[in-house]
Amino acid sequence: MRRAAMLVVTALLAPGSAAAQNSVYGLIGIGFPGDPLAVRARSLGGGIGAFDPTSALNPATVAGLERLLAGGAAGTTLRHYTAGDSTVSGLRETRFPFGIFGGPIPSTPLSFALSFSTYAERTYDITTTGTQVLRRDTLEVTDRVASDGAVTDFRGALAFRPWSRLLIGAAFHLLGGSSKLTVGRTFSNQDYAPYVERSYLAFSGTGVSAGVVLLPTSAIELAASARVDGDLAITSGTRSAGSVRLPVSLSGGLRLTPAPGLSLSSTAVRRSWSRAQQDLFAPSRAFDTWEIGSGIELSRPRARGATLPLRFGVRYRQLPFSNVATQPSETVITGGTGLLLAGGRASLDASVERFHRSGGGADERGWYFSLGVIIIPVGIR
Amino acid sequence: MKRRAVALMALASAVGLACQDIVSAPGLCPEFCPAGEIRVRDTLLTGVEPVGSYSGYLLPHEARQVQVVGPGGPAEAQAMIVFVPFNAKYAGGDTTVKDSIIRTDSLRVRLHIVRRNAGVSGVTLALHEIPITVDSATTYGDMTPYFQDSTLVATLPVPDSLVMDTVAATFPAVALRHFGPESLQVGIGVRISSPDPAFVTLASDSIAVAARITRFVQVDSSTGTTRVTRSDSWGSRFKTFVADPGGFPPPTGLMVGGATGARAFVKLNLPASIVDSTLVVRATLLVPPAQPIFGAPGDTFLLRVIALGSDFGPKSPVADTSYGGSVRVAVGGSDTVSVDITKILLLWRGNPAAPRSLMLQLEPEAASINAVELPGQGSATPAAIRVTYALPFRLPGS
Repeated sequence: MRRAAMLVVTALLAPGSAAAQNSVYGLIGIGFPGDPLAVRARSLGGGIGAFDPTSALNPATVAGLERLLAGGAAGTTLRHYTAGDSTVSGLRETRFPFGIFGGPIPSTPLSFALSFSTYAERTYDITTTGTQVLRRDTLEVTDRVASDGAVTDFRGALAFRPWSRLLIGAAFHLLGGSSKLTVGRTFSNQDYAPYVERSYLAFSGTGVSAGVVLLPTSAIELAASARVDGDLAITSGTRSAGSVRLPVSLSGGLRLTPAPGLSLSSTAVRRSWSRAQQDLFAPSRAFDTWEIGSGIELSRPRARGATLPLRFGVRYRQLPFSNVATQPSETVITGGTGLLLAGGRASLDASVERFHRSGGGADERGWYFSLGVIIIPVGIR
Repeated sequence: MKRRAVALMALASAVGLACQDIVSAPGLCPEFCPAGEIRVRDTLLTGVEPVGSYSGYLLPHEARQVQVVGPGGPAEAQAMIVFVPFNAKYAGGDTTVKDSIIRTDSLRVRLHIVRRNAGVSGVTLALHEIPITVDSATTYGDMTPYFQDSTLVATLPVPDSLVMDTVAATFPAVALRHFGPESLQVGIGVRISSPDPAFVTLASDSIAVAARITRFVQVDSSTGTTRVTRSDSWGSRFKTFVADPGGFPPPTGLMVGGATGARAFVKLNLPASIVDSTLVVRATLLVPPAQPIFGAPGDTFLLRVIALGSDFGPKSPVADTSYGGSVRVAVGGSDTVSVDITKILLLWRGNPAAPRSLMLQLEPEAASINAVELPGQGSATPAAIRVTYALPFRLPGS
């Protein structure tokens, strides 16, 4: 089991594996923003994000890790969109957007967590056509710009529980990742050789976050966290390709447990993405965003003797980047369940999301299916 | 427990591996286009430095073709073919006859034409008897006495419809003044007579020989009771062509081609910022001929441009010839000759040790009088290179 856990951790931390669901809106700005959420939190619309120790939104929740665990998620997006006169369907991506490894530090009151999550997804493959005048001839040209990669958020968090009703934590974030950029042009005149240029963009940056979770009563939990990121530096080979100011994020959450087996949670996040505006080039625009997610979890239902919770959620969030004056947004309806295995030493969570993104000249709809696993190794505390 | 964990991992891996991404989509600009700019530029560079013109790499008697050019053009050219000598005895392979030759009746010369100018009618090839001692040093002037009426052996009309085929002329053996028991070898000179300027090119390689000669002889049957006609034939031992040097204009620049098979060398002074730091999508060497392109009226030829592997003068080895460029050029034209050298610049990309030098030659080499003259040093209309290139993709902020 211990070896299996290490394999999972190794697989989840493999470079280049971090990326989340993609979107037509990922073409703009630094990409499509990701979620530092585990599958369970996703199925609750992100409402439990501020309280979930297996997610990476609030570092204080790490103090809630009572056992060493390793977990990760895989997700598949199926989507279609309409932009202008174009309707594009049949788009599909599979990614490994989240992984975490953490637990209590023996002989100390501290807990730790190492995690990765998608900060911004930058995978796309766009073909456009146009004309260019060369040597007095007007040529039809077909351009392709393709990117495969993501900005990844690696987090190292420490947290402790000074009192039984208070959790405090802080984290350091290392932003990394890369994207493989492929750019090419073909010409209608065969005398002009098609050209393809391949390069790698590397991303780097740092950030810090801190948070608290307060449990005034056994039925009420409150959470708050803040995150400050520096600039995201982008380099192509050895030369700088610019930098983008990243937002300050503030989040708050409320979780109610009115009865055993019933949990209601909400998390709201405010991000000051407009800071990036001065680093973007026309016509790209950056907007501050709100993100609000709520979910309900019924954890008493049983199926064939096993606990089979039911989770539902809804989430609304504004998207930070647009090439027009209107800010796009996303509405997601979520559902999911989970399964405890091996006497509670492993869990399998599944989530399904129906999303609708609109604004900025496009309308995108699709499904996102994710599967997460959490393993608590035997004999390790 | 362990088995179940492994199964879970396998399931998670299968989810990832089984799904193939499909993300290709048309762009809608500017609303949904990635930031950045594809920049393709076009520029004219004049840094083509003439180095020199050298000949002797291949001589006409070694060339793959032999050209005959008639009067009325810039320069006449005549072919010379010396055949393999016949045996004193019949060597046709028919074992039902004796090999002692009673009499030689006639001979037939077959020429293999691979190219001629279209639109000219009434072309006739005149076959003259020439000395069998001609060699690569024989000049046009040396041969002039042998292209007289007195040496005419046969005339051979070339059908107007013929483009590429063999033609043959049969003539009595007595038409050859020097063919007899003392010399069973035949030398034939070929010239053209036609109302309009014309040319004919004969094949001359191992696959398609320029000419064959057949001897028709009288021999007795093996029983000695019947006299029959049999034939044996041979190919050429030596072939070449000579051109009237008086027709060639005095060169002022770098000569490429001609009967001497001249090659020209030029050096390109290209900025590294284009060769090494951009992606060349099209590069064209522009050669304004110093004078109208010389050659057989109505003929065309291939002008090849090859990069040098090393540059140490006339004996420089060439680089991979598959990276070269070529263009078909028409004789008589004075328009700028454009040769695509895109592959050569791609060969040079990231390889600063490769000399930026080119060699120009005609194809096939030394097989015609055709020639191009490149502008020389200090010419008012120098050669140039037109380069279309893509600059590195410009990301916003870079």
